[in-house]
Amino acid sequence: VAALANLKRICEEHLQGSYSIEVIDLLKDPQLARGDQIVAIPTLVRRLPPPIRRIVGDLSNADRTLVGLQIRAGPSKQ
Amino acid sequence: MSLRIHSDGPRSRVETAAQVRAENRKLQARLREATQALDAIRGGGVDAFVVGGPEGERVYVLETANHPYRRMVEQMLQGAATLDRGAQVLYVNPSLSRLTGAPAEELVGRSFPSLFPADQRDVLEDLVRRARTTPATLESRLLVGAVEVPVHVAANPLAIEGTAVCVMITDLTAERRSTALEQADRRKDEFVATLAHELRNPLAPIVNSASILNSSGSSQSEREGAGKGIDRQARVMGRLLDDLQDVSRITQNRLELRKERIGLRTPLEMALETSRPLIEASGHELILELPAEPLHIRADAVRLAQVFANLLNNAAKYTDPGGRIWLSAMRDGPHVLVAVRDTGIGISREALPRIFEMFSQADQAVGRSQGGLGIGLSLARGLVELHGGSIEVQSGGPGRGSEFVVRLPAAD
Repeated sequence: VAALANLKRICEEHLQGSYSIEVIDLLKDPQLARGDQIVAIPTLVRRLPPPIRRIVGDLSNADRTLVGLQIRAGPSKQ
Repeated sequence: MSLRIHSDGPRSRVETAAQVRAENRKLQARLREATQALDAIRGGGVDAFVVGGPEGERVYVLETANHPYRRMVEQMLQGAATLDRGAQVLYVNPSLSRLTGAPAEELVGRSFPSLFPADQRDVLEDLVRRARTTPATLESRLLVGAVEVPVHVAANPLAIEGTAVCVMITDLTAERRSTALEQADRRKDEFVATLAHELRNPLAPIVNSASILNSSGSSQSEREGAGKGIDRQARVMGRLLDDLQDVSRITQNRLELRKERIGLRTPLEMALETSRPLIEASGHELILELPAEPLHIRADAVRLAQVFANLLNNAAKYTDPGGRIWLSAMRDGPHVLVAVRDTGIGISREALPRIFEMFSQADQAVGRSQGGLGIGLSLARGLVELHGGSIEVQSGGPGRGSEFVVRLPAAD
């Protein structure tokens, strides 16, 4: 729930409405985790644009979330 | 619990440099994800893990994930409990323990309706039964030792692991008290409005009379009438202010009686002197039923006269012109009774219990032209009680007259 609130805030600030969020309750349907290779809850899966990116945790660190979603350039090893 | 990152494994085929670089980038991204996932787990940002097994995926929830909710239930001001299908208490939060004054271990295992007074148990049982399928609420009283506390009870279905229903209990004591205060406050506001009205009423005739006195064209008889009018109206105002002052003295315990052994006739005659003009002006017939032998009391004659005059004035005001008013006195064992009865508008059953309360007239008789502040009866009761007596009212209902009976200790 904290993750969803954080995600909505980040998306509103940086994506201005051009996004859609789908919430999947893995407590109800744990088998859905397999398709997205989810191991921890909560996990944010970015499906579009490809490639798929996964961010684990409550997304309380906005900068790290933005880098993870590749919305903002971050330090890269390459 | 293990964190498993799926990988495609090492490739055995010979690949081009470009393919290797692409593969490397992918693996780097994976590694970055995995590192971040570990950081999130260490940082407390993860609530649960999905673990694949032979029977499919299972979710393991970390105990810490429920902390905020558990803390919320345990620290909230409302009482909360969970019940099984038979309405037996499975869990209570600290607030409910505090509210009932019983430790949690004493409450758990008890039947939930037994926390309420006997006459409430049926409705509580019904509430819990309904709440197994749909949310339900009611207001009731919770037992706290021998005392009862007004509460609001909300019950919801909560079907997990043997639990059937969860309930929330809100203490309404403070809310009820503030409602009572609001009512008192509203009555006071109404009283102030009535007071302003009553004090203004005599002003217009006084101003009129004054202009007659000031006018050189007024005849001698006009001047005399105006003088009398001013006198009469000023006395009305004076009486209102006296009553007001006395009521505040009584409520603040500052009224002192000059009690002495007197014949009951003394205050009765003083009262009649005060009230007779109003009774006669309304065309009422006054019937006296006084015993031949003298009745003695220990009393402040002036104050008792005030009580009887108030009752007689009330009878005159609340009886349509041409009615009848009885004033009677008698000995009743160790007491002396004085009764004032009329053929007036009567008092409704609902108004009877509050008739002696301060300002109560302001509520029900606004719009009647009778005037008065609605403090006369409150004042009468205060004065009678200061004499060690009591005052009662009876009425057959609206239109059926009223009777006020003052009971005072006799002095032999």
